[in-house]
Amino acid sequence: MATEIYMPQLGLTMTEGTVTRWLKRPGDTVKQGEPVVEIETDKVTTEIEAPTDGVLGPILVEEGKSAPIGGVLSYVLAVGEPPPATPQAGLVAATPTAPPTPSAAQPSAPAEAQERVIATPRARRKAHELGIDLSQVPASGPGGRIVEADVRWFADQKAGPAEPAKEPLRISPVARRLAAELGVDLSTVQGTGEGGRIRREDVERAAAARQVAAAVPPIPSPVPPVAAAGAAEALTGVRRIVAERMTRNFATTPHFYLTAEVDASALTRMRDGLLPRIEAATGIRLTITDILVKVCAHALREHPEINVAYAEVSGGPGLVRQVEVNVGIAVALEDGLVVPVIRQADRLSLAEITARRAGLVERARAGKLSLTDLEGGTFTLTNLGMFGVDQFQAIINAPQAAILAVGRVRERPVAVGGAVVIRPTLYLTLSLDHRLVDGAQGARFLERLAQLIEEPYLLLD
Amino acid sequence: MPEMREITIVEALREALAEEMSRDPTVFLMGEDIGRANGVFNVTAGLQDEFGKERVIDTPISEAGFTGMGIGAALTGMRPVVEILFCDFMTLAMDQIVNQAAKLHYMTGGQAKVPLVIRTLMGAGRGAAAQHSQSLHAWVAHIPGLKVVMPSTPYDAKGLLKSAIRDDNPVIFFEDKMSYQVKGLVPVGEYTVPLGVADVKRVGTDVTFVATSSMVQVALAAAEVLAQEGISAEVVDPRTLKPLDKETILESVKKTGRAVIIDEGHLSYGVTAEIAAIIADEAFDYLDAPVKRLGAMDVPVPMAPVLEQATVPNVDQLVATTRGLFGRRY
Repeated sequence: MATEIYMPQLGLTMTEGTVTRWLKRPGDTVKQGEPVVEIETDKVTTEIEAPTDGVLGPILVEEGKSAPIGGVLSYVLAVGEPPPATPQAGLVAATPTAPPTPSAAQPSAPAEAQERVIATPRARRKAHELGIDLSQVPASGPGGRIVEADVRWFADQKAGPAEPAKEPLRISPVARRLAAELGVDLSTVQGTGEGGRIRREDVERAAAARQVAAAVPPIPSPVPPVAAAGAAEALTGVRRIVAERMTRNFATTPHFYLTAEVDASALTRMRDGLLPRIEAATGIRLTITDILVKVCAHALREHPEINVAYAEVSGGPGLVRQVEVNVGIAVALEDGLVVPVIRQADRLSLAEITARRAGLVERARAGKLSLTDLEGGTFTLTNLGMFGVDQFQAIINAPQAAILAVGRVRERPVAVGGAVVIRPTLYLTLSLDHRLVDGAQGARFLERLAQLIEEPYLLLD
Repeated sequence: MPEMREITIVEALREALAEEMSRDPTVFLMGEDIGRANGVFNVTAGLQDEFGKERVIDTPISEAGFTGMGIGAALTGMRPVVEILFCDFMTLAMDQIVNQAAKLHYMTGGQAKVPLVIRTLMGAGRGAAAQHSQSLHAWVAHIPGLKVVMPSTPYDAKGLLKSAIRDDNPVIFFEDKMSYQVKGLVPVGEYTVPLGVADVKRVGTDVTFVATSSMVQVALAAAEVLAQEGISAEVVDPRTLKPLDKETILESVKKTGRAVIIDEGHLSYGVTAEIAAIIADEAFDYLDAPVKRLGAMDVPVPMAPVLEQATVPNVDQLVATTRGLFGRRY
């Protein structure tokens, strides 16, 4: 029996995935658990394994094409078994499917695929309304049925990503009018109504968030118009995701920032002292970041009011008090940024943190992070010290309440007891979500971070 | 907003009876153990003291006889409220209910009317075995000329019972024995709930639960579980099977595209089948999944509590059935 290989759902926010590479060709023998196709989502690149032993069927979603969650990418067939007629195929590419084996001189599949399409009445009605050919729509419903969501998804796809900033499909008339009045860009508004419909409240919230953001001093100047030379190009992949996330986080989270210069003498001494021991034990070199993860985790455990996340509660603002202390670390990639998470960092030894960090960074650079590596963060640490940055302000990794931006350790002149002395120092800049945390709370947390860095033996208390 | 207080379904029903008896001298009660014994489930507690033995009449165990008396009284201008303790015993009075009460208005060309209310008990859950645990409301809902009411909350119970007493047609009023102690807000003053108007007990967007009587609580609990998974369920309580508020049900299903119907009667040939057929017929183009039904298993209700529970629709079943309506995209 043909077993579907379909686009898995790898996270709550995922709606579709892109096939980046087929690791097997149609007709290849595959073993259960063997990777057959590589896919990319908005968060990760991952491999999908063969669900069972058999032979790979026709490729229904070509490399570079995307499919909705549940969309069928191919089948694992028994030897000699023909692929199923494709009413439930995840046929997303407009081009006809390639035949199972390139050399096979069989009658081509598309001619035979004109069988009855299984779709719900509601999906048929919607397809009729939108003028969509149901045989082109990938099915995700139970029993391979095309449901309304598939038709909507397909309609959105057909509109094409290349088109300039298309308005979301579902907007209430009131919301549309209000957005025009307030000058809110609907493409940046998250709909909370039925089926993600943008409602009046959503537009109001976006407008309010914009105002709060404008009240915070370090607001970036509006993006200048694209220079006439050179055509604008659409962002893709991780870059696009980063662009969308940052826009949304920065627009909807009212940031404020607290900075402190910290004496790093003890920190560097500690690192120098522990490095050989940890390297001997784990084979990995201890970094300042590792110690800072430990420091942050320790301070977060003491300051649960910072270890919170923003949440909507029945349409209004709310917060989640996090149980675990999971510290995310920002890792720069060639074309973007990921934040893998060191879970329960408050319970790990420095050696353990070092080993975890090294593993996560390695997987991040190789594009092999799993969803588990990325989920669950309750606080983020970002360190640009190694790039020679003295001090910077980071955008909060929403819905978390805070992010710590760390600059380089450098010898700087500081005043000590009425005299100027040279000390290694570093700048800590804490960005906080003002909806959840006030200045004094943030300051106490920052003070504790500074204290732990200047007197790291306090980590033992 | 009128002043509200929290009372049980038992208290709500007692208030409805007392208020209607005070308001209208033609209203009187008849049934087994309703007077001196205060009613087996305490619904009529204190009413005989308040209104006297002539208006709260203890009858012998003789369902066919006192139901017939009730019909006769109704034909002559009274508004009797007859209690048949368990609906399992309604079988004994079926000729009176089906061939007399339901027919006389029609067969006299509208000259006679039968403003009779029969209060009766339905539902499993007390380990009362196969002859005291049935839910036979579909039997009477099948008969033209009868109205059938199934309240699920104290507010609805009181308002619907008052409307039933004031209605000129025979009304069979089903009370669920496990729901008697369900509490809810009820206004202090006078109000009624019209027969034939459904109530949306929870608003949702992804699936419609049409639930009757005690199954409303099951539906609300399941909706809560499903909300955690991102499935938003709307709970529609028809409140009366006859007349049935098709519009509210259809409107909800047209919005959500999915429907699960939950009723404690046996699954086969029951209430769920009727409502499912209406949805399939009149909301066909809006359906995004097959209409599902949950009812009591097609077996006599067992006495052993574990087995009894297994035969009645429960939250887990409803959650599982609903999940099955959603594809991999959710």
